[in-house]
Amino acid sequence: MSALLAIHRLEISIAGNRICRGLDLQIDCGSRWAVLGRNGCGKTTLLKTLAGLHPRDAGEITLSGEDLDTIPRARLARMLGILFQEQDTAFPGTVLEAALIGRHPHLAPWRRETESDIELARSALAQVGLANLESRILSTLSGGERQRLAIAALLTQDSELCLLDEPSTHLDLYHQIHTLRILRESTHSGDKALVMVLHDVNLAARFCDHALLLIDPETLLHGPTREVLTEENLFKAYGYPIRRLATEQGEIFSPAWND
Amino acid sequence: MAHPRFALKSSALLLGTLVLTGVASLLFAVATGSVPVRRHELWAILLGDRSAPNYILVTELRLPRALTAFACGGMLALAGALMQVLLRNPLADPYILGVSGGAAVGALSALLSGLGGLWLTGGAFIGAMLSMLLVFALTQGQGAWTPTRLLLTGVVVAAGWGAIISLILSLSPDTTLRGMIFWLLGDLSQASHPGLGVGTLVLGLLIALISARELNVLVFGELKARALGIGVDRLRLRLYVLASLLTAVAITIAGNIGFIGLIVPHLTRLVVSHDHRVLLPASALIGAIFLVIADTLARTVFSPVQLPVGVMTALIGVPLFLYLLRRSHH
Repeated sequence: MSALLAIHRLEISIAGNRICRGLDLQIDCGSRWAVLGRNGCGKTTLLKTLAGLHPRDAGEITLSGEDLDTIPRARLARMLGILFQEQDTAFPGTVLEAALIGRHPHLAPWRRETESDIELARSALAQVGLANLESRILSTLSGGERQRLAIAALLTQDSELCLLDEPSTHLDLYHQIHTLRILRESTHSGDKALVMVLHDVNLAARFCDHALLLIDPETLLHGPTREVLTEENLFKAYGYPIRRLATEQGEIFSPAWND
Repeated sequence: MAHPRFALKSSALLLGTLVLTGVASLLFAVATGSVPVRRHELWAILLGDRSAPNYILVTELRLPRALTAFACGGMLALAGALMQVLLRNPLADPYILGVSGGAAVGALSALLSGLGGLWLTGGAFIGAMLSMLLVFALTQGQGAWTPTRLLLTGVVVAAGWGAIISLILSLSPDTTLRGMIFWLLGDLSQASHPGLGVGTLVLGLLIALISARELNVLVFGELKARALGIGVDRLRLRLYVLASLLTAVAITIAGNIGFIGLIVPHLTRLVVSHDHRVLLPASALIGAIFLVIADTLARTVFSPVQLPVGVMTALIGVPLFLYLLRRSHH
């Protein structure tokens, strides 16, 4: 496995508040990373920094061996895609059109989407279970459908690195599992990697092989999921006791119920 | 949109139909008036028969006026469509950021000084450019160039121009007041050289079409557009300058024709498409046709009295738009 994204001595802050300092991290092709931490600890800002959408105070980020800052935006968008936490759908449009915007970075300005672009978008919509809604108007979608559409657009973008900010929000239990399975499968070919911000420790443990736990700006634990997600580390991160229970379904994380 | 391939074919068909309708509207405008021109005579004139009795009337009065209306309608509708994406605001029209206010102050100042002709058009154009640069400089001033900042700056500058316009009107003698009011309402009776307008419309549309797919992405939000590889700041600047220039040229030629730039893009979104590759040319064509017809009616309905065309655009546009808006909810 080769390094897709390499972070060296990264230092970032937002509105004067330090988020991390001296972070060294390597994300290999084929790996799936979970980013966990309490509200407001800077998970989203970290993700945006990795996408080149937030300035960093110090440190280097390289993508496939190239300095992130020197990659032209359009090419970067072919290598790296990001799912944002909020889906903005102010103007009208159909589901298929919204999925197709993922092809934008792959098309020259004067070119139209080809049959194969449309096929890619359709198969992504089918994967997230929106195949029969392709001509629906965006404003008529439910929150969960919008979220799945955004994931379909990201799959249509077909970038090597996908950064996802809470991909499971708004999704019901079935779609949480189903969507994360699709995302996991997308890394099986071994040339793609995922970085997902997740709030559900169980989903992180189940679908990710690596975890980055933001405890405080000086303490960012990272490594294989099993080593990082311990009761002790999770207590430090969330300030609440979490039990790691052995069941017939494997290990399950549960908050301690002390009421 | 059932199938994108189908949509591609149907949009080509649609744009073709609009072009033909545009030609038909021009013929209608040229043939209609206090002296009706019959069909066979019209053909003869258009083929260059100088001996036809109405040759001068058609080639030097009606045709330039109709073509000017066509170009101005197209420019205003296109500018409106661009402004609505730029500001992410459905209420945006070509005049919202003060370009028209600046042009009006320039034009009215010329009229107040007793100057006409080139001074009037020059004053309007300089006023429009001045307003565009002023709003840009004030928005650029500190930090981020967000649509909200641009909108607020533009609206406040427009309000400032509004006050100066009122001041000029209140200081003007009655003799010049009528000309001023007509200018403010939009007036095509002075139109004689359609080349500039038609050229600007064609060029502007081509430039806008290069960015059309980027606009489709930009409507999903600034962050998403950046993440999909679009240089959002440069795109916005291009939109702002292009929309302002189109508006400035239209206003300089035809005065302050209202309403087209606001409703035509919405009407096109409602009945045609929201894909900017179709929306932009379709808006321009519908705006063009709309103004040609409105102007023809404005000069014939109460003939020999000519109404300001701006009155006619609103009289036709308001009920038409409300009807389509209601229908689209069923």
